[in-house]
Amino acid sequence: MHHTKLGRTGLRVSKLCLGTMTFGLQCDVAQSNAIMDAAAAGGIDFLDAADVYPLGGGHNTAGRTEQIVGDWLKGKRHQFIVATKCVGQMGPKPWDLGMSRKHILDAIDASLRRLGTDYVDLYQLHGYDQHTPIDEALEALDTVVRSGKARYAGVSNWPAYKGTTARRRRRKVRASSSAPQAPAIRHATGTTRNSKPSTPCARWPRKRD
Amino acid sequence: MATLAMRWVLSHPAITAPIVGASRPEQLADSLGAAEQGALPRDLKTKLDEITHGWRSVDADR
Repeated sequence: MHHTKLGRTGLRVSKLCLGTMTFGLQCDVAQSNAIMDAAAAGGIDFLDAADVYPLGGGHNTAGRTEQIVGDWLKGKRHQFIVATKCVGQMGPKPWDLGMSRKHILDAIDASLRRLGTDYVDLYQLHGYDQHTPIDEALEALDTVVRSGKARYAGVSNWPAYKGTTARRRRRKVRASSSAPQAPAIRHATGTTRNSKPSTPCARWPRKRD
Repeated sequence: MATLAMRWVLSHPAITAPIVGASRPEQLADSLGAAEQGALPRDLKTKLDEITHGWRSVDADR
């Protein structure tokens, strides 16, 4: 398996990342473990989860995927680059979702508990929340990175122009040094649940130089 | 087909790592094969870029 740099960071990750959203609903624990075993045997050392996973569930099933990944990672956490995300609805309260400072700080702690680790390597906002000022979200991500709970921060499923805004605001609010280089996951369209959709993990849009 | 599609994604200069999911372990074989073979030759990538242009334009309009 070849490795490549994650976005514009210095972190080297495998050229394939294993998505985990099938774990806990489409796949039971045994099947999920078998998929992670097969991926690891094939040289994949980059895992992507999200607090709301498994796909297709509600906030009653949210967290199952991270729990399965965390249990599998026991004793081998340091052999993998672990990514997860927040923003999706995690509970019944109106503040149990989104990218408010409160929710981001609650969500990272809950993810770390389920994943059984002190830190994730990459923490991403799983979507854009128009109700939260972008500066608030960036500062919260900065807090997460500076507290050591994540090594890098990024976004997922954002329109590219929002990423550009975030880059510009990041300089104003002096958010974490990792944020400028954070990757953006753009979920591919037209993918189906049971096939092998690819989700490109792209760099921030940047000026050609 | 899956291998070709994956190699096409892997050929994109802005993409770090495609995220591959599976509901059965054996589904990973095509993706792992694609990663082993790496990026597509330039002419094949160009051809696939042209064929898929319409879909990606729709995507951009959303």
